[in-house]
Amino acid sequence: MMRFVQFVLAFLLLSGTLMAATARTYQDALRKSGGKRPVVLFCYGANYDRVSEQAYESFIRKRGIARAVRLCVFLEVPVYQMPNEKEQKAWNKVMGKASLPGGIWSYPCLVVLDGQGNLRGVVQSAEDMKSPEAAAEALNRLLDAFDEQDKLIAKAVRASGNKRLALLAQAADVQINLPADITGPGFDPLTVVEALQVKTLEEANAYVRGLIDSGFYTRRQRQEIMAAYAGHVRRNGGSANRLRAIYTEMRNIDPDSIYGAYAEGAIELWVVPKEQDPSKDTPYVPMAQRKNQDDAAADDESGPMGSKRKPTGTDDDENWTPMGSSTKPGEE
Amino acid sequence: MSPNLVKLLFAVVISMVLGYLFKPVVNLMKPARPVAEETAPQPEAVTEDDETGSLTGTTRPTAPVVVHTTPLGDSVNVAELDDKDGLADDDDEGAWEEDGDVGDDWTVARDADSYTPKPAAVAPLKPVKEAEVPVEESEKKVPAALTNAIARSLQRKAGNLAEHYAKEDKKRKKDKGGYVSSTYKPEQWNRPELIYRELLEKTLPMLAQPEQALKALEDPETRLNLARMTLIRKVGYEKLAKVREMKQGNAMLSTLTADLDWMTGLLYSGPTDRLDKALQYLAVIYAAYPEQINTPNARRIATTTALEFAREGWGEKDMLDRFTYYYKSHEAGKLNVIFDTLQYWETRIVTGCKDPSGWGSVQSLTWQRDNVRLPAEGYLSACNQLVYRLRNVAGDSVFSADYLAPILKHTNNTTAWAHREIGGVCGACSHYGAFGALAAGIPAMTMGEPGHCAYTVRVGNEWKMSYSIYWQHGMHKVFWGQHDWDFLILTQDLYTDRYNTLVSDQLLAIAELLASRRMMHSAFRQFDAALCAQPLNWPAWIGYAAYLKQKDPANKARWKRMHDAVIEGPAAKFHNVAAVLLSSYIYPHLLPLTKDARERNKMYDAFFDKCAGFGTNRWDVSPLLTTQIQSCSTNKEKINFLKEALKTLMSKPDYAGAVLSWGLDYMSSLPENNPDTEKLQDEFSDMIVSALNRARTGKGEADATWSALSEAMYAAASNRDKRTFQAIGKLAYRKCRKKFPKQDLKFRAFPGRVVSAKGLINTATTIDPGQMTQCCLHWGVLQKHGGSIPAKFEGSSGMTVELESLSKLNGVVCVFAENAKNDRDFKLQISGDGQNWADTEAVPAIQGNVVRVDLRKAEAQARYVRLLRDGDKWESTVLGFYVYGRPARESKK
Repeated sequence: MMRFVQFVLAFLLLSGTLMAATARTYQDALRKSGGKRPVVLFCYGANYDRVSEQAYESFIRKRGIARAVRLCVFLEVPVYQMPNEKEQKAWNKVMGKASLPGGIWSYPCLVVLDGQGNLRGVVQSAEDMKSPEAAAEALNRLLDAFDEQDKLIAKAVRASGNKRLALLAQAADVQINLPADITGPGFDPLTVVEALQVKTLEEANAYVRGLIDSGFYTRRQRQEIMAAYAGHVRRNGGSANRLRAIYTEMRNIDPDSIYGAYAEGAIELWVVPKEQDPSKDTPYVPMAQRKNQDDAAADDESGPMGSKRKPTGTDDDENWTPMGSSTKPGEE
Repeated sequence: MSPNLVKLLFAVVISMVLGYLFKPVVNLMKPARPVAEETAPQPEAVTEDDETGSLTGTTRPTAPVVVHTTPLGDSVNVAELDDKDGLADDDDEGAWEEDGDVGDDWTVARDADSYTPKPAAVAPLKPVKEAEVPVEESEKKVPAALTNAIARSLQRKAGNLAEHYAKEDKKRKKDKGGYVSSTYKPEQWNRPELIYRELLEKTLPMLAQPEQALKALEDPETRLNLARMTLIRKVGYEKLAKVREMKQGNAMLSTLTADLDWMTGLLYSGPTDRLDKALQYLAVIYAAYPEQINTPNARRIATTTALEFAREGWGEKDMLDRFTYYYKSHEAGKLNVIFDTLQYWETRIVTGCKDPSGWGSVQSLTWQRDNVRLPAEGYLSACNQLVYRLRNVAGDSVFSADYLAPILKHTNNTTAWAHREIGGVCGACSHYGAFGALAAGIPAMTMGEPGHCAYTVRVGNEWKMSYSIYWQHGMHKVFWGQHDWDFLILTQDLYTDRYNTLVSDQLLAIAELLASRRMMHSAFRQFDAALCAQPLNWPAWIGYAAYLKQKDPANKARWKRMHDAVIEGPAAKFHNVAAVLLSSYIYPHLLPLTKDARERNKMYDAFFDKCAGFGTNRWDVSPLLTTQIQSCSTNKEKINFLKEALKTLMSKPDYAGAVLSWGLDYMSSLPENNPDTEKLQDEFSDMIVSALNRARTGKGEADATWSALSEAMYAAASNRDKRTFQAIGKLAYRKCRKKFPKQDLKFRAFPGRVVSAKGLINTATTIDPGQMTQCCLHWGVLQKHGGSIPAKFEGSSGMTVELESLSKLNGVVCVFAENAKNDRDFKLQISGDGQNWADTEAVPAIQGNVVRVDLRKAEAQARYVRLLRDGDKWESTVLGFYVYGRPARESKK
């Protein structure tokens, strides 16, 4: 009998650790997280959306995501359309005076918050939310990233100078949002576009390389820098080989990201020779300059953005240095 | 004469002789003409040209068609009829041509892609085709205009019928079944002309008089018969035959015409342009989904998609794709529950959303449906899901295809998805928000604003704007060619009052039917009744105006009654709708018949008495005022009118600025160098100043006065009206001194007087709505105490100042709010006429936030001065601009 009691107690203890702490209100959820455990909100359309109703049935009633949220604080948040008095009360009961954080684009969804209420990630695409299994998998990825990012942030907080910046860039690279109080590497991609406008291709190359090699930028930011550079080269008569190398490198930084796909599309669009029209092979010439192609080839005077500067890199792969990767010109 | 020419002439002569000789034989070969004859119904007359989209006026069938009036079932060989179209044209040649009614001179041009408002062009009046049928004498008279008592009685009776409909509807929902009639078997629709004739004989007499009709319409079979007649009349026999010949066409047609709810949805849910095409589309859907189409929801989706795609002139494949999207999404429970309860008219806004190949493509709608699932109000901020980027991260402009091109393969050419990944500007952001709602089955639409694109989503029964920065909106989805916001809200109110509107629509259909049978007297009475039943029924107003214009354009009593009814009806809430009705459809006829200026002014007052504020939204009062002042024949009348207008409108805070700026614009549009004009302008200026003097600036009124003065100030500056600019500036400083910033401008002055203080200043940029309310500060820039004006330098445009008179200049000082950068040079130019400019040799010196130009050695004399700067850049605000010197005459002394 004693053994049985011990077994039951052990089971309860074990299962207790596996069960999510379920909160009834938003404040309760933040409190239960103790500032450390992630909070997962299941937000769903409560009075207007049949997809949400189905999701509620399979995710919650049938416990489809119970395992995925086992280590988190879990809260259901019903979202109402044009709420009546009763519905408004139900909302207030859960959220009090708080509102949902920005960044939620679709319901139903699973929102991951940290203990301070910062939105760190959302599982919300139709693809991820199509079934409890897919959602659980996406949520697990997000929660793993959450842990990994927190560790990197903790390291960054202890570090200083360039090391700190590099660690923050690594933390930002983990595909979830940084907490609001942690400032990641600041960056506006259009400043790169503007800075490049007045540079020759060689100057642009050196400038971009400096940025990339600094190690302060996230993968996404590096891809954006490369996109700006490629755009500059494309609009200023850079060779197809050079473009191919830039886009290849941009893609390889993170092939699965949106700018990985952008680079892939750009290669097909602007680099791969068109079978029907071999003349479009190399170099890429903007439409506006195309009529002067022959002249330009003979007398290479046209510079970036119509300036009279002589571009030094129209194609002459010798001057082209691939940046920060083993990719060589022409390789894919 | 060449041999060829001789041969040709010979051939012509021979053919003429043969034609003459054999004419009797040809006639003998034709079937005998029936004893009683009647022309067949016409299709809707005014259509848009399929190719160009332009209005092409009335369609002119070749010849009247004669059909037998033998009893139903008698064998009539339709193929032998003179005109196989089954169409007759009995319209007077040119009788419906539009002339002065179309007031498009005040409209804003709109390019489809520029996101500027679409022109509020006045919709052309649609003709009612008339059959060549005998008509009783009593029907040839125009009845007297309605008295108030009769109008009230009709309104009450129509209201009773509407209540009857509401009860029937409730019962039908409870029983889950609508009225279906088996009067006509499917094979009978092979001969719609017979059905039409029978219905005319059987049903029309009981619908001829309003009171009778309102009683008769209680019977659902009568309503269905009316709908059947309307359908046949609008589509025409030949086009109905085309529909019948289509796969499942006859089945669709017979099912449709037997079902009252379906027919009601088809005919009374908005415009029915290209109804024949809509029926063809409906047949296409019916053939593709023969089983599914039998539920009310599927019919609603199919009918609205067919109607809108036909009306917009979009293709069949896109139409079927759109239907499939909404039908399947609805069946799968993927649309917002709002969609379940939409009426036909609002479903048309959803299923008829534009751009079937971009934002409205099935891929894009599907993606948004699945990835942007929000409560209705959530779509108002959905635009923020896009990053606002004029250039993408590669530096490609949003206006080039390169902006999205590389990502389109990854996003499967899905417009919404591609923009969410890459970004967009106002157009993309607004489309993203609006189409997110539309994809979920919620009514929404984009709207153009000057230089901007915004959108609106309907939340509950209320249309809410999002991303809007300006009061002027051109809605991108409209029913009656009117793009102003007021018309959207009118449409909403009209169909929210659904049963009264249905009664009104049915009475309108009867009126048009009677008109087509040349029963003028009865037709007028039914038009009257339709407007009594629903005073917001825009198509009824337009239909009535068109009929009155054609039949009795000089009937002052009827035009006046129409005017009064507009004032009592739509004007109460929909000021712009009423203004369009008055200025475009009523005034052009009524004003020439009203010789007494006082009577006209009384009419104008009657309208503005209804306008306490702007109503549903700010609207452009200028076209109405322009139409009104154009009716004045002498300067004296004009001045009286202006006095009245200023007196009435200056007391209304919303309108004060608008009427001032209209007046200034109007004055500047008058021919120059005309003593009459100058006198009028002077009197007007005095009148403005005196009107403004009376403006109150007490607590709570100061903001409104400041705003009105600023708007007038802007208009004066735009029109280069120095005198008014100065008058308003002084007045603003006197009445609203607190609005002028307290600032101590420090700079080294030049000798001489400030000859710019009594001048006028202009900046190189357009003033946005936020800055518009601060234009009085522009005047302050020329004064000692300073003011502020946005400083944009762009090529040959910069800060331009017109001096009080031709002056000999000593120097110019420009004071900026912040230190001016040294990166580019300033340049000062002078001119005697404001057209031809000359550089000065003096070099502008930058000292902190002050730019000084010493002209003492330049011997410069000018009436205009402008400060320019290289490049296209904004500088910090200009706080003070002073030109020193002496007026030329004074300096000579």
